[in-house]
Amino acid sequence: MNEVIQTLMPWLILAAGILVTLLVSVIRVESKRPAQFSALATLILTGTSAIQTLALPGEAVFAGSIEISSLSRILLALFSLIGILFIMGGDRYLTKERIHLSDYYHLLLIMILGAGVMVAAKDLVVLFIALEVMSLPAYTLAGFRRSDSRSNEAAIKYFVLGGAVGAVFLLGAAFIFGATGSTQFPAIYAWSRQPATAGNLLFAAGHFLVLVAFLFKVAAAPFHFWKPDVYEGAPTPVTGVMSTLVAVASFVTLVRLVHLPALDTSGWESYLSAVKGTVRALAVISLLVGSLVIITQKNLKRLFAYSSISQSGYLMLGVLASLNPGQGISQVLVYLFGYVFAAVGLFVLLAQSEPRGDTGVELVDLTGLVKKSPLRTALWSVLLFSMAGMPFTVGFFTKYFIFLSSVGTGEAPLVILAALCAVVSAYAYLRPIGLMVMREADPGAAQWSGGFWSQFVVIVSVILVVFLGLMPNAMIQYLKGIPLIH
Amino acid sequence: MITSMILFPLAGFIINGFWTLWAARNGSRVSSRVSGAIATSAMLAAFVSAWLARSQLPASGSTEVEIFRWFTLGSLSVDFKLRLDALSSLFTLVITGVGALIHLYSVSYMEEDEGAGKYFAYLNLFCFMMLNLVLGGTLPQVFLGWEGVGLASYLLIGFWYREEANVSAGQKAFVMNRIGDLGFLIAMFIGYKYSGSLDLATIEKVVLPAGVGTSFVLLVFLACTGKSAQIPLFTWLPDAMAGPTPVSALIHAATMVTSGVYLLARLSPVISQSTTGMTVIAGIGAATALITAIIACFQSDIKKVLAYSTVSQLGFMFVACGVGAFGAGVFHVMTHAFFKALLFLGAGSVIHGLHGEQDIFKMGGLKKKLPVTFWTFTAGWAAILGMPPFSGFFSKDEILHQALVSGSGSVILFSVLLIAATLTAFYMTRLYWLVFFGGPRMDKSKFDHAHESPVAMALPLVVLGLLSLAGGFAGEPVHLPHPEAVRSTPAWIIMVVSVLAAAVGATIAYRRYSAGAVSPEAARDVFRIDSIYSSLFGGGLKATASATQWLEERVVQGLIRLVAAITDLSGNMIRVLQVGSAQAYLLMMIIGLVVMVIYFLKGVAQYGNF
Repeated sequence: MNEVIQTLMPWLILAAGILVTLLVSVIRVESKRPAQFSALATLILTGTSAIQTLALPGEAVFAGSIEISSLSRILLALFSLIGILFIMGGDRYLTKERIHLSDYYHLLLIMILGAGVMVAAKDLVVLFIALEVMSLPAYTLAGFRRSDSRSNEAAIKYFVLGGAVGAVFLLGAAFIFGATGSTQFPAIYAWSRQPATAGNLLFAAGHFLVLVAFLFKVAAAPFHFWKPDVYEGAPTPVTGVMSTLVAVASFVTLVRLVHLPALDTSGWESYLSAVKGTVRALAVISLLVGSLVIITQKNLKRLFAYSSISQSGYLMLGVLASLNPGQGISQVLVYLFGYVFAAVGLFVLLAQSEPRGDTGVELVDLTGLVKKSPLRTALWSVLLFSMAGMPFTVGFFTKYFIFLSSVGTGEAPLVILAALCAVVSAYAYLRPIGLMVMREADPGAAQWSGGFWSQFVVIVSVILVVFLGLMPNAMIQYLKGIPLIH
Repeated sequence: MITSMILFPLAGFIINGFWTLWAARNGSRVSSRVSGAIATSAMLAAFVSAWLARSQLPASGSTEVEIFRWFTLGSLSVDFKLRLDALSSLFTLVITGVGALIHLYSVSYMEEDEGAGKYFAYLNLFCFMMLNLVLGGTLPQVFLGWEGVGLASYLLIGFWYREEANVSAGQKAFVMNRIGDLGFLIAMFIGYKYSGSLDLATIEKVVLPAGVGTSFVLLVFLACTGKSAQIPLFTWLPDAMAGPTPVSALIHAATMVTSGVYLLARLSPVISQSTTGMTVIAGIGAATALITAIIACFQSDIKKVLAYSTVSQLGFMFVACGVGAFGAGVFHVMTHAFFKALLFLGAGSVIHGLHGEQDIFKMGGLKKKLPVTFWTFTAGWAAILGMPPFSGFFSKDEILHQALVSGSGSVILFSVLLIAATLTAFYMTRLYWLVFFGGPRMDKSKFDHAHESPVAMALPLVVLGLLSLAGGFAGEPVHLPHPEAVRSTPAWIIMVVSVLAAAVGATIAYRRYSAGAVSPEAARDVFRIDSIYSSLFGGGLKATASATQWLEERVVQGLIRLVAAITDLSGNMIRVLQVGSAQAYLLMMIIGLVVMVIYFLKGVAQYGNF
């Protein structure tokens, strides 16, 4: 038992921290600082303890339903970092919007716990529970701006569509259980390798539904419709958490689920080609939708929603490459890390705009920013360049690796399409920079003010983006050593 | 030495950049003299390093410095390394040498500008990126430089961002270059796929299958048309003249725009494998040389004339590459860097002296007023005309020669270039005469206030003037494999023909523009110009010019607008689906699910082994 506790330490710290934060927020309702500090301390402890145990060997606990490995540890550390950065960077925003409540903090911690368990789950049932633990607080947080109807709408939409994801996932899991007699990953994997079971239709149908559920979750087009509305309505730091934490957890889970059966065993060929065809088709649609519609967007949060839809497209290219023999999955992890580092900064920057009443932050709010605040303009530009995949930023390398890995597996037409989409969408990322630097400020443009900690977070993010854009090797080497599947 | 060469401009960028940021915070001003001195000495130091590095070049021809392991991906590992050989060494000398002179010139040119610190930081950044481009030992590193110079030029074009035109010029340059970059990226992936490496040393030697080879060459060339402003992506360069004049001299004449030629020369063993690709390169180069030379004859803005002239001269260089004479192309890069930088700086001096006037029909008689500018400009003028013994003579003559005698050359290519050379002589003499001779056509007060530039601006002019005069005697600086000659036209005949052609062009311009006083009204009289051109070339020229203009305005711009419209339209169509109700979204998701299940079942039925 002692060993289990030791292995689970980071997760236990987080769980205990949730209780403490919850208690503190009940005891001191009038002030949110205690809850905030408790949440920060929890996350710092969780992150450090996850990093400390990084080198330890992987270990399955709870009868093999959860496996604590270097993957789940590094991801828990990343999730904690995301949490810390958004707590630091979102403080001012919450106060400005008058929604700075202590409840915000324990809900955020529960989300992180759900995501942290989801990436460690080795059992479909545990995975489902973790998915719900991650999602339920997210629905609440999306509706946190209670006085704004768009926020309420976002919460409901997120909830209803998240419910659909859960239903489809459960149906698929039931099919898988029916076919294999197990819900545990290793058992399912072993089952799929037997010659007698290869190509089992019931299993294929169940696996397919499970994948579809997570394709919903990562908002691959044409399942993306909810995303812009939810992004727009939710409070900006919450949007940021959804766009980073939820996206990473969902995508990693998607990749692990894709590799749930041993599809390279003979007998699975036709199903493998069906999976590949689906992923390819959704990648194409996501790339096209993401990079075309983004051009017409004026609201910055909607713009980033479409951006994340096209990110899903690039990531699916990486998933597709991993389905070929001898191909690893490190390009997906590298992409996710690179994306997170830039996205954290972008959403914190976005949260620095002063509220303008009934509209969100629009492109026009950026006009003439360079005169008001040159530093902020520079920070915006670097992060937007990273999103556009310009060299010198981490965004270039992450895209580049996805493309390289795909070229090697004969997906050349897809790579050309993706590169073309990158060029088209570069315009959308360039335009805000043009507005900031080269236009006079619009009279109606919002004021921007960050405060020290918010600016600090953005600078950290920019430093990471530029440093990893120049010297990505350490990160790549580290992430490459992490076994993502089995 | 090689490393320090790129570190000096980087240091200059960092110092000036931080100083500017710091000053902006404190509300103080960055002294243009001091920041200019920092930037210029960084470039001088880089030039000395480049010189020393060249002298230490080993007999084997190339040397590599590994700086760090950049990234490893599967079996592919890419180092961040600098590679110096004769080709890159020549480019580094031009970049740092001409760069240092232009920095020096800028110190005085930008003296009254508030943003001098920012300007010099960007200029150093540009040189750093350009050095990365030519010294990069791997394709990603070259691409890094390639994008970096684009970024720096974007920043510098938009330098005076208060003017709306500059904003759109900067954006146009950026977008056009992105189109070209797409070609670069895909070509890089092809190279990786067939050689298993991204090292230039390996990719240079790769032998590609015939069809792939052609697409590789065409993709690389697409990248070059973007960066080096060839048809169809040339229209951004004249617009880029919105930037400060020294920027035009450095980026849009001497260095960045020649990086396409560098890339072709660098990859010449692969490029020359594809006959089709080479023919396209030569054809596009010749067409660009001719068409932009025609357009240049109709411009009245001094910088626009020089801009179109640059595009035209780049066309000459691409023809050289297209017929396999990469060495001749690189030779012309060098001489062109001397004389075109000189002409731009001279133009800058004239504009400076006339307090911002750029219309050549409002100049005239400046010979006495600006003696240093006049005499150095004369050297540049003679060089671009190809008058012996000026530098342009040697390189242009070599290109004309190769266009005729080499295996992939032809009489047509030669004639097109010869006509382009004649037109070059025409529009340059027209410019030269209208600016420096005749009576002044500007306000009397403006003429009286015209003044020679200070010594910091005059010195670079003199140095570049000497280089334009004598630079050609160096001969082909880089020995790249030459095409086999299939025709045996003696070189001296071509020499005589090309000099004669230049003389004819110059004489026509002289007769047209020296006959009495050219009043601004008369000069602007489209009909008269029209009639004179008609009498000379039977109306063909004007027609071509207006056809080209029409082509640019309607077809190229139209195409760009069409792409934008299609993007907008499809964006709007998809957006229509975004109705905003959760039920509708659920319905769409379920429809999507059903479609996917059908697809899945179809797959099952098709393969039938479930």
